[in-house]
Amino acid sequence: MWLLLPLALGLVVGSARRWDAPALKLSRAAGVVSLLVLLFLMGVRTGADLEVRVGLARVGVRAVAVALGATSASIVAGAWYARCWLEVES
Amino acid sequence: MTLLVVISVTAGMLAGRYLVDPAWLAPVEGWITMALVLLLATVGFELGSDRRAFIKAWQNRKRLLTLPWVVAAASLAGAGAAGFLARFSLLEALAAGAGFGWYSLSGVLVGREFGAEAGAVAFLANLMRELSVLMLAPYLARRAGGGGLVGAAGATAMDSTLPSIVKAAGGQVAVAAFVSGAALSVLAPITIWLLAAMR
Repeated sequence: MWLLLPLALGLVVGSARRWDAPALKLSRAAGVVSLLVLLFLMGVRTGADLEVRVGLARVGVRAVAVALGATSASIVAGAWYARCWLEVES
Repeated sequence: MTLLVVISVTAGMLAGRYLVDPAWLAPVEGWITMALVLLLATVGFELGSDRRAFIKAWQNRKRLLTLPWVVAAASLAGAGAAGFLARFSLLEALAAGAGFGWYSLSGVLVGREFGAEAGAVAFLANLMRELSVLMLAPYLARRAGGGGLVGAAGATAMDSTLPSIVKAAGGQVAVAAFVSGAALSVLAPITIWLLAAMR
C-alpha cells in the first residue's frame, strides 16, 4: 500500500498549478522510459525464476486455461459494465 | 508502443533465462520498485494535471464501486469454466482465478491452502494475466475500451498495470482502474481463504 505515496505525491504536484506543455511532455517521456525499464526487469525476474521454469512445463496447460478464462471473462464483464454504467470510455 | 513493450519483456526474459544468475535477483527487486515508483509518480502527475477526469469520476463514484464486484464475479466464473474444461479441480481453479492478477500473493496463498501444484498454477495464471495486460494494453483498449482493460488488469490495476492502462486508455480511466484494483486487492486474499474453507 505504500506505493500509494508516489501516486499521491504526483497527484498533489500535478494539481498544484496549471503545468505547461513541456512539463507534461517530460512527465510522459519519463513514464514511457520507466515503463519499459520496469517491463524489462520483470522479464528478467520471470526468466531467472527457477520455480517458473519448472512450473511452466508441469502446470502450464492449467495455468493457461485459468488465465484465459479469468482474463477474457473479466474483459467482457468490465467492458460491458463500463459501456452501460460508467463514462470512462476513451 | 506495443512492439516496444513486447521487445522489453522478451529481452528481459531471455536475459533472465540465459545471462542472469538467480543469485543476482535481489537488487533487481529494488530496481523494479524504483521504476514502479517513478511510473506511479508520473501517472499521479498526469492525473493531477487533468482535473476534468477527476470531477467526472467523482460524479460516478457509486457506479465505480460496483465495477470490482462485476470483475471479481467474472474472473471466478471464467476460471471455474476453464478449470472444468481443463479437468482441473473446480475449487483450485476458482482459487487460482481469485488472485485477480496478483500473482505473488495468490501463488503463496493458494500453494499453502491447496498444495504446491495449485500454487504454481495460480502463480503462472496470474502472472500471465498481468503480463498480457502489460503487453496488450493498447490493443485491449482499442477493442474492449477502458472498462475491458481495467477488468483484465484485476487487482494490478491500482499499481503495476496502472501506468499501462492510463497510457493506453487515457487519464479518464485512471480513477476507475485505481478503485477497482484497490477493491480487488482486498477481495483476493479473502476469496482464496473462503474457497479454502469450503474444501
